Amino acid sequence: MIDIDAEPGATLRFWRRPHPITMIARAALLALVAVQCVAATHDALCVVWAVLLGVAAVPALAMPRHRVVGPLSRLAEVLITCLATDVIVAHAAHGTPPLRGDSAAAATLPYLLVPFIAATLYRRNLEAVLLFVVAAAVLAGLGAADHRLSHYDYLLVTLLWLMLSGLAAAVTATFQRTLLDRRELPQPYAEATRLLTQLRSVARRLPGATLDPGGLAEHLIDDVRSAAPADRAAVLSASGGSRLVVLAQSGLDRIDWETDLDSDSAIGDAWATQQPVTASRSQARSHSGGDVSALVVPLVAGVRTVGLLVVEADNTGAYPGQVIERVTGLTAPAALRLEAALLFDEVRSLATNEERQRLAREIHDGVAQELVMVGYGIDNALAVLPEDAKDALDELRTLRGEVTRVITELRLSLFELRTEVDRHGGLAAAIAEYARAVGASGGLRVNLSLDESTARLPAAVEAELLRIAQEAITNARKHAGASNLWVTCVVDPPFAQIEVSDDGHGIADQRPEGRYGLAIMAERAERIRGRLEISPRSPNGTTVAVVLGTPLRRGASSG
Amino acid sequence: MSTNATPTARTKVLLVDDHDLIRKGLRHAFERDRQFEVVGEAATVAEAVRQAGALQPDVVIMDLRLPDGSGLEATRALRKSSNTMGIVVLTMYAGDDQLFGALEAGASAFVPKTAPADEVVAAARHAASAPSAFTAADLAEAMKRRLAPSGPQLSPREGQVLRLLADGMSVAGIAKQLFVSESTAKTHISKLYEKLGAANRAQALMTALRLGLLEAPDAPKF
Repeated sequence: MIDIDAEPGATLRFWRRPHPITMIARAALLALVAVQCVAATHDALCVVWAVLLGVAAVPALAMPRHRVVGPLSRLAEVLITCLATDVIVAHAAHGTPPLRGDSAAAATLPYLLVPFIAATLYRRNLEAVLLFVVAAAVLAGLGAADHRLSHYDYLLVTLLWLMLSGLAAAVTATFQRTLLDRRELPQPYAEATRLLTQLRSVARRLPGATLDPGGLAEHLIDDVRSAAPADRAAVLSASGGSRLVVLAQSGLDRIDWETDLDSDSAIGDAWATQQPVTASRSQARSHSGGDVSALVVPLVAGVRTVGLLVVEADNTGAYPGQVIERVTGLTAPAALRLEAALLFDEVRSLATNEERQRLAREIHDGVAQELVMVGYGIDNALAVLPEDAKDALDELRTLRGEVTRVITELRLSLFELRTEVDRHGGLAAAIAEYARAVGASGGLRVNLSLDESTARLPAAVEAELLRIAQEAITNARKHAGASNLWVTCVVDPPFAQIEVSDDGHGIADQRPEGRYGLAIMAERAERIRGRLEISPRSPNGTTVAVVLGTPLRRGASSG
Repeated sequence: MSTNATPTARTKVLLVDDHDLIRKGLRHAFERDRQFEVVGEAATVAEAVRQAGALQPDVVIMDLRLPDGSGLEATRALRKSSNTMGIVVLTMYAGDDQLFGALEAGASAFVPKTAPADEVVAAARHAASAPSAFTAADLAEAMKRRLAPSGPQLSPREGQVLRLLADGMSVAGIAKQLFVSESTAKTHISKLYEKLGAANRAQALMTALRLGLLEAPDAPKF
């Protein structure tokens, strides 16, 4: 629970209404004290103590939560109570029983309940303890000065009320805590809000792309390479199900890492046991054999495994105990960062997808239906116009053609908004489906060339690549006036290249900032640390390509 | 089956769309045609099913997205109760899934909302005469798209390697043919096996044949 006083701009809260219990208790006890003082001393003037206590209570009631005024006012109440007790006892020789002589201490001491309970109610338990100590010390001091400490009645009454007030304060504190705990537990929304607010402020403070899983993974690999021998290294993370995706890797050749968590490999072991595992067999499916030491370190954030770090060296015994220790020293903080980045990605894609669906619904139910209505209206007008109104008929037909064109555009936008990368289908399939659908309605011949490895890219990266491809395909259909569309899709994680070419009239301005659609594509490419390349196609047309990572050689020479 | 348009036996039409003015536009289009008579309108799935039961229309024009559910559900429900009712699915959505969804639900015709009103009327005429023969403007193309290979996608190079493997060539032979080193050829082959989920040459070739990645055994060499 956040300390109310600590909140910025909470000055006004000092003036908030005091706790009702403290108001009622003060009123009741002040009345009691007034009556008992008079009863003990038979002197009406002694009401003045009750009045003094009342005055001391005013600041405590007005600003109970103030850091200084509240405690001071409660301290004043304690001191006045102690003083009043001393004076009343001294003048109570002829009081009404049982408030006579030393027992007259019971006339004023009940008032101690007020500052003690008030302090605990405002969650100032330390203040309550200090007040208790002060009260005990002052009462003892005054009692000793008046040689009253040996009087049995005085001791009994004083101790009794001190104990009673202390006990009441302790019970209040305990009760308060249970109440707060219960209020805090089942509040997922409050908790979520708090976490998201924190996330927002953290994300704002982070420089640039620090919440990017790929970048963090590359960082980790760089760090690890300086701490341990590594001919090949990779950071893998889970992508739902029992498959791993490659977030980053380094090595001379292209590597097919083992991505099946159920497989009987060091990768599967490390994931299951959450412990670093060494092996003398490569974790790369493409490895040709020979001496290898492999080290797989799970990236554990809290109790969850978020990913794996794999390093391999082409000799035996490359990872003794102290090297493993050095590596795990690097992975522990990296795991937390990676977890944060992956969560952030997930939240962002959840939010974006929801917004896209909402937008699609809005367009569908709103402007699109209204345009359809306009179209039917024109159809009806066309049907009732006499044959000889040739000009009007022509105009209306042209208008109908335009309306149909606009509705077609809207339908395709809806399709674009609703298309997502299927978890089982893969990126190439999603791009192909979109290209085919758009080609069909835009009169484009679509030529597809798809080369997709069985390994997958992270979901967030796939989503961005699909959006870039969609934008490029839409551009070709809308602006290029092309008759052919070539879509090439090579996915070999962490490398990927999507290329969309058309044989239209090309775009005049080749710089990404030249056109809105191009700017969006460039922005998306940047977000996944890809490169957007726009070039004229020979003999005519445009090629838009987005490239992620570097293509790695397969085997000894490129084929 | 054919219904001759006579003034005495008009084709009864029920319009289902949650937009008032769209129903109005369609009603005008149908009223111009002497064959049809609009007997009712509905804005929800529930209303559509109820009205169809009460009015027994010959043709239902069904919007896909309705406030209380999908037009496909309504189509399924109507088709279950009657085999002779014509159902024209009218939709804003593009994409083949909607088209095949309508086909599966038992619709008689599928018309996009981009089409002019006359096309809706023409589809209704078809639906009334042949309710179980599905028609859509884009049907043939959609079928072609659906039948396009959806299995593993080979790169051009892998396609070459596959054909050479089918010809019974050795790794060394393939490397020579493609002007690459043997280890590169090996990598291509292992990637190919991986994509086809095969452990050896025989399995790879069988899978490729089954998926249509390989043509007849005597296909000419490139």
